[in-house]
Formats: sequence, structure tokens, C-alpha cells
Amino acid sequence: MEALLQHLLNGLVLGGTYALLGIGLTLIFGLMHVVNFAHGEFYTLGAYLTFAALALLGVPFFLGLALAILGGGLLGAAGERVLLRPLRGESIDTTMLVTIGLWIVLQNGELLVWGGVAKSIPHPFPTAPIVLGPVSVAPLRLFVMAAVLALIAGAHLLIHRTPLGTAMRATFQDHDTAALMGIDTGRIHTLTFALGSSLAAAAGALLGPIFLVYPSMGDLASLKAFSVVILGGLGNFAGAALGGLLLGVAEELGAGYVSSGYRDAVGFVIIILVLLFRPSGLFARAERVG
Amino acid sequence: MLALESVSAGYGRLAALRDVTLEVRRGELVCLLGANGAGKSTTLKTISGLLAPRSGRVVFDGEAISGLAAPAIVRRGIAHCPEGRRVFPYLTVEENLRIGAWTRRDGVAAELDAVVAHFPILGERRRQAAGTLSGGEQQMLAIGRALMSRPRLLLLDEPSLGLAPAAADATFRIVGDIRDRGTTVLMVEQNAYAALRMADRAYVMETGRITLAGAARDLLRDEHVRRAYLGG
Repeated sequence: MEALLQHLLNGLVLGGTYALLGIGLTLIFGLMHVVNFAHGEFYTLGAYLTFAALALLGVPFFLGLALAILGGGLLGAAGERVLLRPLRGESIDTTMLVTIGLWIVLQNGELLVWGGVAKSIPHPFPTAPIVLGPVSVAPLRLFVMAAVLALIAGAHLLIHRTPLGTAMRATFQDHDTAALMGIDTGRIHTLTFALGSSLAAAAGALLGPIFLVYPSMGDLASLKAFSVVILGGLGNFAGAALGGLLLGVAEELGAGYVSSGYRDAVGFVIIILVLLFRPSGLFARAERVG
Repeated sequence: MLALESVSAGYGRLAALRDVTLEVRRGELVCLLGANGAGKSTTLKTISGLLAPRSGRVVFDGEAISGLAAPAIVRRGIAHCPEGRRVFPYLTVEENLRIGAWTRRDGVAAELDAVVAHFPILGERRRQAAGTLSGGEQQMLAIGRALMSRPRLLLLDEPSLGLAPAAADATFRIVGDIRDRGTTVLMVEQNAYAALRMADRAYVMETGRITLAGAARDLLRDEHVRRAYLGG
């Protein structure tokens, strides 16, 4: 029982960051119909920006995280403006090839700048775990969980409670009519891509201090993000949030009760089952992006 | 107020408008008649900036607006209520209305109250997803949403299409009200008889060209119009 609770708690920490990754990817796909293979690279970027801010520039921890999230958003906006804007109206295959190119360029760029040796990010939290009844948790992980929840709630409020979010949903639902309302749909695309990228960067910035940072870390993150989006249903915000938590918990339980070597396999077995039996996702609803 | 000067436009290699010239004066209700595929909707899309003309000019208040993007044209005071209503189905009624005022920064709450006062059913259904409304209610929402930008010129595309007769009548009464309160209207409509009875002037389009123009009451008596569009 105690082991189960412990696994669940660990699964929620991991799953929360999966949820952030998945939400970012699902927003971009749902709004823009762009399959963003470079998504994991924004995760890597978030981790390296945090490393640079904390280890090299010595800025305070929380400011470092905020800068990394902001940096991910800015690079996302730039990428959308330069690479995707000229391809509006092109087929999904064309934009997919472009994001694959961006993935390769960014990953090798990281390798060039930082080298292949894994880095660890310093953090100010005490390493002694906090004991909560039957479970214990490192303070850093507790912070990561709280930050993830805050970011998911913030993204949800942005999309559902602000005029900008309403415009995003309107643009997704009917592009031409949104333009007739006076919405600058090009700007909405840029902002959505920036939001999705900044959420991926946030996941990297938050997991970076827990694990190690290395140039190819984004590959697995991309796979997880795609898994989460498949679980939740394409373009489904709540589905991505729940799917991320579910995947994290399932992996943690698999690692705990089967074998830690099978951690990633458990996730993919679930994806295969979902694709076989509920191909539109576990939480498929009519509405997407929202 | 609005003039199209020899406008040609199309989709890909297909020419949908050929040398279209028409005019809408301040305060008028002008309607555009014609069969399916005659180019009526394309004319409205060319005015509202969804489609750029290949040649010719669209002039609004003395300034050329052809080539401007749709959002810039909304800001100049033209609202386009598209064919098929095109409400945002998963946004609530109120969100749909607020989106209509996207280009405005102030007076949105007052405009919302005014539209809801005009269409009480939209007030009752305020928090409901727009996709759950009936066809007639969606048409009211689409018109209300277009009015939220406080347009000086309202473009209406087939407001009665697919509506039950009672809902269609209600829609025509609303269009008449809008004109009476000083908004200029350019309307595309299949129901030629109802449209001509309320319009000041009308244009008839066939295969992308304007083939006939005149005062609505004259067109009602025109032999060709009677045979082609009024059923006898």
C-alpha cells in the first residue's frame, strides 16, 4: 500500500510534465494543423536555458525558470513567423517536413553549443525528503508538481477565460469567419505556437533539475508528448492534461511493479491499446482546442 | 458609400466575377439576386477582404479597400455575416457576440446589452454553446454578432437559407429594422420576392456578371426577373 502511494506520487510528478508537453503539442496541432516534430527540442531548450541562467549567469532559481519559459516562447514565435507563416495553406506533410528539419537543426545546435556531456542543474531545495505519512517526496519534486499545476491552470484560464483565448478557439473553429470578425489570425497562430513552445520549455526547465540535461533528451520528450496527445484525443486540452497524468502514473506503476527497464514500454503498450480500441483518444469529445 | 469598379475575381484558374460594377449608397438596402454559382457570395467575399480582386477596385467612403486584409476592412466599418451563419459552435452565445466586437475596445458591454435587447432569445441562451441553437436562433446570433462591430455597412449572405418560413420572415423583419435604424445593407438572397419587396434597389447576377440593375419595385415587374427568379 505504501509502495503504491509512493508510485502514484512519483507518477503525478512525471505525469504533470508529460501533461505540459502534451498540452503544448495538442494546442499547436488543434489550432494550426501542424504536427510539430520539433516540440521536444523546445523541452531541451527550456532545460539548457535554465542551466545557462543558473549555472553560468548565476541568476536566482525562480527567475531562471521564468527566463527559460519566456525564451522557449520567443523562439517558438520566431520559428512560426519565419518557417511556418509562409507555408499557411500548404499541406500538413509540407509543414511536417519543415518541423522535422527544425528538430534536426535545433538538436545539433544544442550539441554544438553545449557538447554531448550531460549537465546537471543546481537548485536551492534541500535534498532531504519530506515525509508525509506513508510517503516521502523530495522538496524539489513537490515544487515541480505545484508549478506544473499552476501552469496548467494558467493555460486553461488563458484559453477559456480571456478575450485572447476566445479568439484562439474561434480561429480554430472557423478560420475565415474569425478573420471576418477582425481577428488577425496570423498573430493568433504565432501566439499559439509560442504558448505551446513555452509549455514544452517549462516542462524541460522543471524536469531539468531532477534529471540530467543532454542534447538528445528532447527525443523521448517528443515521443511522450505524441503519446499524451493520442491518449487525450487530438486538439483536446483537458484530454492532454489527463492523458499526461495517466501516462506518468502508468509508467511509474510499470516501473515499480514490473521492472524499471520496462518504464517506457508500459507507456507505449497503452498507446497501442488506445490506438487499437479508441483511436480518437480516451477523452474524445466533439470540441477540440478547449 | 460602397462602389465596385470593374472587379474581377476568382478561385485558382476559375473566374467567378467578371467586370462587376455596382454601387451601394448610404442608408440603402440593396440586394443581389441570382442563381447558385452566379457570383453573389464571391462578390461579398471580395468586398470583405476574404478574396482579393484580380483587377478593378473596391471603394468604400472614397478610399480603395481592395487588397486590404479582412480585419482591416472590419475596422473601416464593414461587417460580413457569412452564408450558412457560421456561428462558432463551441463558443457560448455571449462569447460569439463578444468576438463580433473584437476590433472595438470600448462600448462593448453597452453594445452587448443593445443586441440582447433586440434579440431577447440570445439573452436567455447567453451561456449556451452556439451550436445548440436552432437555425433561426443561429441566424439571429450571426446578425447580432455582425452588429457588435457597429458597422456602417452590413453584408448579409443568404440570411433566410435553410430556415423555416416563420424564422425566415422574422429574419427579414430584423433586416428591415437594421436598415430603418440607419445601417446600410447589401444582401444576397435566394428568396427574390421577399428581398425585392423590402429592398431599395437590386442587381441581378448571372455567371459572374451583373446583367440587370434597377429599383427593386421595377425589377419586381420585370418580365425576365419574373420568369427567372419569381416563378412566373
